[in-house]
Amino acid sequence: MYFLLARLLQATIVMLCVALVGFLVFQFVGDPVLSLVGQETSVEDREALRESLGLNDPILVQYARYVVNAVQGDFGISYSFNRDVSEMIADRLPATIELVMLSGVLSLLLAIPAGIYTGIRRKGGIAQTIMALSVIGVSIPSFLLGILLILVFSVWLNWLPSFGRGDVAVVLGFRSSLFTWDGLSHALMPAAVLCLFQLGVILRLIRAEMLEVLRTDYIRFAWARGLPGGRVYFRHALKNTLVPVVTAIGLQLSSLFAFSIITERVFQWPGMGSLLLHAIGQSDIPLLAAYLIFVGLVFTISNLVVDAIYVLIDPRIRHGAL
Amino acid sequence: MSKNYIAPLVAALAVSTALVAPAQAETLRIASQGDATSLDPHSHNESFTNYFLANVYEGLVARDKDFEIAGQLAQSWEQVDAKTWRFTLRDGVSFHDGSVFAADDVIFSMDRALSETSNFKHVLASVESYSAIDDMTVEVVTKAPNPILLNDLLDLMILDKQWSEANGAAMPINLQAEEKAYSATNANGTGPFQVVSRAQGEKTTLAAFDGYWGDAGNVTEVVFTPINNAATLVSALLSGEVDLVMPLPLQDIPRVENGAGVKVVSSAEARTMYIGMDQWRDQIIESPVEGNPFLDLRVRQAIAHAVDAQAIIDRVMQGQATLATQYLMDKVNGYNPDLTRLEYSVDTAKSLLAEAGYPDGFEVTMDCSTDRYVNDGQICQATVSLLARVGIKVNLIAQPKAQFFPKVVAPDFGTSFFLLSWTPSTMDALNVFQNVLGTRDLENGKGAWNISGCSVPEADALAAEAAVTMDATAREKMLQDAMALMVEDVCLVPLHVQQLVWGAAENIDVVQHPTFEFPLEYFNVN
Repeated sequence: MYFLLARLLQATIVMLCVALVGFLVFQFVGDPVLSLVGQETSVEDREALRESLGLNDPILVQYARYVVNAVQGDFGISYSFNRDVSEMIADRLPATIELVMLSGVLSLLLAIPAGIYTGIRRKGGIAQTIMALSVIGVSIPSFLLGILLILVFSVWLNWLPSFGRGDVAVVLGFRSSLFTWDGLSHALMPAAVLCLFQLGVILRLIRAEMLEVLRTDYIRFAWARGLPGGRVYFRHALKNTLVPVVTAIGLQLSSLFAFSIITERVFQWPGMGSLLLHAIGQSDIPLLAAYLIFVGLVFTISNLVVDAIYVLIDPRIRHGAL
Repeated sequence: MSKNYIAPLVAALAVSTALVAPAQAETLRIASQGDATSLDPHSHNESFTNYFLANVYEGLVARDKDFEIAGQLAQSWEQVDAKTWRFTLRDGVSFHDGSVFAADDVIFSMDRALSETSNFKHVLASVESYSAIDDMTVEVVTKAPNPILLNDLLDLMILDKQWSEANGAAMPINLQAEEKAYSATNANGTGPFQVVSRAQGEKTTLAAFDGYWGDAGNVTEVVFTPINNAATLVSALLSGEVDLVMPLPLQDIPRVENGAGVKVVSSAEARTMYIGMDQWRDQIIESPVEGNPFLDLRVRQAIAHAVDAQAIIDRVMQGQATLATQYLMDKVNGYNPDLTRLEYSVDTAKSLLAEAGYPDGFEVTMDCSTDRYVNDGQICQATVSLLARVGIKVNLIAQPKAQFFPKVVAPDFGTSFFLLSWTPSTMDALNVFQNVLGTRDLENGKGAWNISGCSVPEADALAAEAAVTMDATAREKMLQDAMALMVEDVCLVPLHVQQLVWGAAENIDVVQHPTFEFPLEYFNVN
């Protein structure tokens, strides 16, 4: 209980800091008034609008006002969309969540077995090939890969749609485009792009950890006892690689949430990332602030979850031995 | 290229609906780099939003297929005297929700456009008063004779009074207001298309309005998708997922020209690019040079001689632009056909600089946006190397528009050398004089975009006279003379008039206007 309360307090401070840094940066994102009014609007009208939006107040006053409103659940109205910011995020969030889920599941399903395999058979031809491919996965920029996929699968082969989110269906109360064929066909390429980088990172980490653990004494003892390979690899070795791997997965998945920006833009995926790009272009301060706080929240929660999982998988942490 | 994979499905659908409906359903799928920012026609004065909404809402007058001003919700009009205009409204017009259009809607919309939160106050800036004479007649009285009242009224969209009031949308969206902005996400106009569904930044569907008073063309459904990324936009066209992309990025023109079943459509746009030079400070900013070289006419002429605008068109604009001789294009009223450019000549430029006392040139900082106009950043880079040939060292600040505009516009005008452009929304030269070329007089709303701070009093006088002259021929002459004076003074260095470039499927007929309007009722799906 004490652990949780301390964590919540930490999280609050982190988010207040994120918002403060945000507001300090907002001074340099440009003048939202200019993106709101037309070229014929007079200088006085522009000034009046700036005043009424409170943009002439000192930045710390704007920050304090924002925090007071945000605490009451009011994130303001987006300048460029004229809509409640919280409503807009609620609109866009599901699209990003389903993309992150799909790519997260894909990358875990592929990375864990491949990581274990390359860790065990590290000299084999297949393992070498997988490692070479994973370098490509880590190093190709996502916009390039996205455009290549579009070129091949949409323009040349005409198999998959090149942009947007497909039809949405409701299953068990969840609205998602992953429940329809059309939706899946739209999500496949962006999810693959997002997945590839994660795949490379997680795979390489698991392999490195496996190699590390397989050299330790207790594994040698396990072999010496004549235990079957499966039992040594999965029960004794894999379990002990999990702590750093879980940390990495947690961070990777939350960064997927925050930084699927490029992929969303290339595939015109109507999620949080494309919303952020729009907000930057329009100097839409309420939207930017809410986005930053949201990202802060995602990272804090995922760290919290990762910490909790540690305790479950590693008894040494539970007993304060590590 | 093969037809896309849903073609058989569409065909099957068409067959099945043909049994029910006599007219065939023609869907037009449009993708554009931006989306309308709001559905409220008095909220954001942004050209794409205005022209998108012009398919849903209508004004008293509008541009017809040939770009002439014609009656839309006004059947006809007469001038009672120099300041009084009487508009007879069109009979039998109804809004999308079925309510009947009448004079009180016009009066309401004018009140609304003038309300505090509106961004369209300028369309009625010349108007003293307006009133409904009867149900079908509206009278407008201007403060002074206004020869271009009809041009001004083009942007005034008419809303339904009852609908707006019933939905709490009697005023355009107020950002400070806490209530939801109904009119930002819902629309009820008299236009040929009605909004069926709207997910901003994602997809907007329009359907032809059954009760439309005029001819809505053969398009029955419009699916509109914003695609921000240029490569994705072009891929969507090439793979047959959309029928029309606007604008088509210049670097992709060859791909579309060589693609099967797609074509490039282009025509001149009313946007003129120019380079501006500080002519109001005694000391230019962000430059080590003493004083202000640009105050000397010879220096301004030297820059005009040194910038090879044709090379910029050929290399940077891929040929998709035409040389500008003045600060507006030929379809704008007041264009002066007798004007010519200062020819490109490094030698002339150098000798002019030497005469002005800068034989070795000087150093200056140039401000430039990178995401506002077609290839704006590259135009500036080209300018930098062209000016280096005559010894002028330019330090380029290429920045996103969100940083660029707050720096260079009123009240700071924080630049001494810059690239900018202007589109006269009224398609009349007076708009250019009032905003860009006229002597700065911010209190009276003049010259807010005269960032150069140039001033030619004789041209001001001619423009002021043109503003109240009702005789069209005499007025045009005044504007042409005023333009000649500005060009002679090299207030700005004109570069080019950019082209409007779209990519379309072979079976789509489009109508392009110099103002980027896209009146969908004139589009055809064959």
